[in-house]
Amino acid sequence: MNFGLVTLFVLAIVLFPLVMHRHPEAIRPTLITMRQQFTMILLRMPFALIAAAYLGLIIPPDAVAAVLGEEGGARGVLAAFLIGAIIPGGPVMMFPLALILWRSGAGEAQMVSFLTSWTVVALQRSLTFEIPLVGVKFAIFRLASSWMMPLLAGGIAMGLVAWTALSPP
Amino acid sequence: MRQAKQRGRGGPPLLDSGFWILVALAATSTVAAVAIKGTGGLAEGGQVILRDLKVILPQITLGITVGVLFSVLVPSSVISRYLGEQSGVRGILLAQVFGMLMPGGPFTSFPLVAALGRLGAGIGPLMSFLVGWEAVGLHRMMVWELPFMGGEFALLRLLSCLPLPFLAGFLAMWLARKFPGIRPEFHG
Repeated sequence: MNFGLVTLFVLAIVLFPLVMHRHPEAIRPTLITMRQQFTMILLRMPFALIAAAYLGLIIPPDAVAAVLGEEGGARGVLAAFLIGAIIPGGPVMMFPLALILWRSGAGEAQMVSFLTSWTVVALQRSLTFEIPLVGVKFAIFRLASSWMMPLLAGGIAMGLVAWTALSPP
Repeated sequence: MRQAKQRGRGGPPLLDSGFWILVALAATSTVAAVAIKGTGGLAEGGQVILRDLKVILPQITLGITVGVLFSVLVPSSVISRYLGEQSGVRGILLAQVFGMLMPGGPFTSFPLVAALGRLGAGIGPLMSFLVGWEAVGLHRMMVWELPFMGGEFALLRLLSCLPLPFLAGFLAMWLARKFPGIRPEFHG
């Protein structure tokens, strides 16, 4: 049985009564928010999956594996870090893309570096949200203290992967 | 213009530019796949789509449910109440935990960081909070990473990222001390 599905199911079963009990007044707005998010994602998901499936057919696995494959080691982690830092788009786009790359032969540690760089360095998010909301100086300081973190995560993941063996679902 | 696209109850805009980019990407990749692989590619891709939908849809449904419930239980007001007064190494650790628990996107997190900065939170805890939200982000993990990448991968990335917020917070504290000129200011 799928570990992710079970985790989410257990969490839903635990959290729902907790919200009912502690914030009974929030039930209605909660259901409205859920419906909004479902509509939003149900509209996007089919297109994301279509794009993912057909891109997956035409992206040459050899090329992905050569750049981001497990054999690429630290060089692959670095390449994944650079791609993740500059690539634009929210989670609806990123996670299907991550799945294609993984299925096409990218290594697990390289995927950790890729996704972590997309969330931590996130140059596009910086331009669209961070600089308008908190300013250039903050953005520069944030980058100065965190840009190398995804590489570190990739390195730790390489160590962890050496013990385990993962494959895309 | 933006207002016109929003729905009556103040929900997120349904058909924003991101949506049309996805549609365009889906159309382009389908055409490209047919051009390269012929109509056989169409069927092959169709099977992948159906298989993915069967796996991902139930999980993302649960993921959204859990994500929304979670943001009711951990509202940003609670986070700012506890974090505003903390500083030092203890503050960095606590901020990491709050950052990891923090739900919502960049529209929530950056204004919150600015507000916390004005309330007097130290630069170390602020950075630890932000990197905790960015790198670990349990909310995003539940809604997106578990459905798409599976539990084992999510666990691998969680373990690999666990030290990062603390380290970033510590580095930020050191940088702000060593080079006071680059320290960002938060004006009320």
